[in-house]
Amino acid sequence: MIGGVPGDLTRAAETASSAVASVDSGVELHSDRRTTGHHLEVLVDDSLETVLGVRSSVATLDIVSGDESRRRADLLDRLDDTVSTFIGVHEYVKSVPGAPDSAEIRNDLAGLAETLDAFAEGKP
Amino acid sequence: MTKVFGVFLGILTAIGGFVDIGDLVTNAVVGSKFGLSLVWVVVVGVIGICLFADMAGRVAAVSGRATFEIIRERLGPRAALANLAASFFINLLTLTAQVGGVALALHLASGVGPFMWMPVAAFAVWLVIWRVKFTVMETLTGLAGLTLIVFAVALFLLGPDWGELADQVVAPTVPEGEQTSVYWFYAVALFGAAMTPYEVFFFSSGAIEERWTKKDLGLSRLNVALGFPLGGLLSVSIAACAAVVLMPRGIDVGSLSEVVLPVAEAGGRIALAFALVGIVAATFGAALETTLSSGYTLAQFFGWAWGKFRPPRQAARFHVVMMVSLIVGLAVLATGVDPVLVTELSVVFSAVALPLTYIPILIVANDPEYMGEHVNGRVINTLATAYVPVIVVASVAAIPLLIMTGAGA
Repeated sequence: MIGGVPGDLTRAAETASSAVASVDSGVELHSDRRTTGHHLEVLVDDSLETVLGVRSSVATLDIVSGDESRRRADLLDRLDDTVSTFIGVHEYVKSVPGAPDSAEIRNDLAGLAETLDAFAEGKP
Repeated sequence: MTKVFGVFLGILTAIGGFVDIGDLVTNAVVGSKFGLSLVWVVVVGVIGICLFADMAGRVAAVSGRATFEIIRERLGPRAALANLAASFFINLLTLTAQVGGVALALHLASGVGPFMWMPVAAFAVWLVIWRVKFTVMETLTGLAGLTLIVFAVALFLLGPDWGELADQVVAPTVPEGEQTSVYWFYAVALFGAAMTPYEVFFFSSGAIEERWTKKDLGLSRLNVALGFPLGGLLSVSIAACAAVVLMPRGIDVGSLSEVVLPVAEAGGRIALAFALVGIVAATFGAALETTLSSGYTLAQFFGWAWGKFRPPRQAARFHVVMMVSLIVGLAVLATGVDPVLVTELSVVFSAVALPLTYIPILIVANDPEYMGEHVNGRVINTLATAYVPVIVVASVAAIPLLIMTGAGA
């Protein structure tokens, strides 16, 4: 298990990736009419809270090197994308006009999971 | 026929009443992180709670006196005060977690925020304790909690690779990417969730509430010996559902909304509805039990009149303690603390305080002055004594593991 700032960044990416996978499962079940809108809504809220919590801890990490700073900025970008996508899922559940459909959302979520996992594995 | 029905009902109630928010959350978290490699802890915990409840129920039925009253008399006020303080604190923490659990379950079912449900849940707990008969209350929540069997049904519907699950149980390993210290942290948490002290206070005080005598010992033993292990199987099915659905997708459970994902995946909205009814019933039942236990512990220690068999005006201090405990629990939740975090802490601290509650019961259950011919038999006593080092090790290791792992993060 990696320690220090690199370890914290890796764990943050893993936690966010878990939240993305969770929302993806919820959207899949909802579009198949196997779960309720309330359930998906709560799932998205819980996952959003998790990602915002992770974002806040990443933003306040004590960074000592330029490399760490770059990696943090990179992760913060990916977390911001995750937050935006989750807000889109919220709009989808609430049937807000112009909200993305489930296929589009799942595509976005798959992309996010890939980038977060890649970050956690130290890939660019 | 009525007797057979009574036995059956008692066992069903024990199964349905076994799972609470601690079991739900801890088993799902463990299943999503470690698969079934910690099932052995559930087995150890269930055997432990069976021994603990058997001794506590027997002490109450034989002596006709409450647990804390006897502990104070047998160990002296000073030692008993440490026991009381630890038990009361853990119970309050567990009560807070259960009320939060009811609110989270209702939030999932309705979409209305948990903060709106918390006062409603606490008020409903108080109202039921004030108005509903002990047996009715215990039976109804236990039976409604049985709908959690949907987790076992879901597991079959998911069609898992049974061989792989069996391998995880028989040859437990720490999955790659998980730390050994986190594995042991959750082992202690799972043990604490299975052996929560309030269950035993409630069980033994319930024996007095229901006016058990020596004649009821066989029935009580049957309820414990069948109901608790079957309840344990329910816990394992929650972990197995998480292991089959969530673990392969890399979902680490952190909320109740994730706990029910496998059920929805397996059985759709109907299964989800059953799971939600079960979670509300299980957490509400446990909230009733912990609230009553807060009144039991304090009133029994100080020798106040207690019990639901008495009208509230004859046991005023007992009822005031329960009301204040509910208000304190509600105040803690009102700070915005995550009920899931409170749950995780409550099961860990349950393990910490376990020696303080288990050892005195073991001492009294072996004392012929109180128990006469009903002291522990050789087999029970050997097993119960063998649990002392296990409980002490879990208790001593709990806080260092909590700090080392950042509560299993």
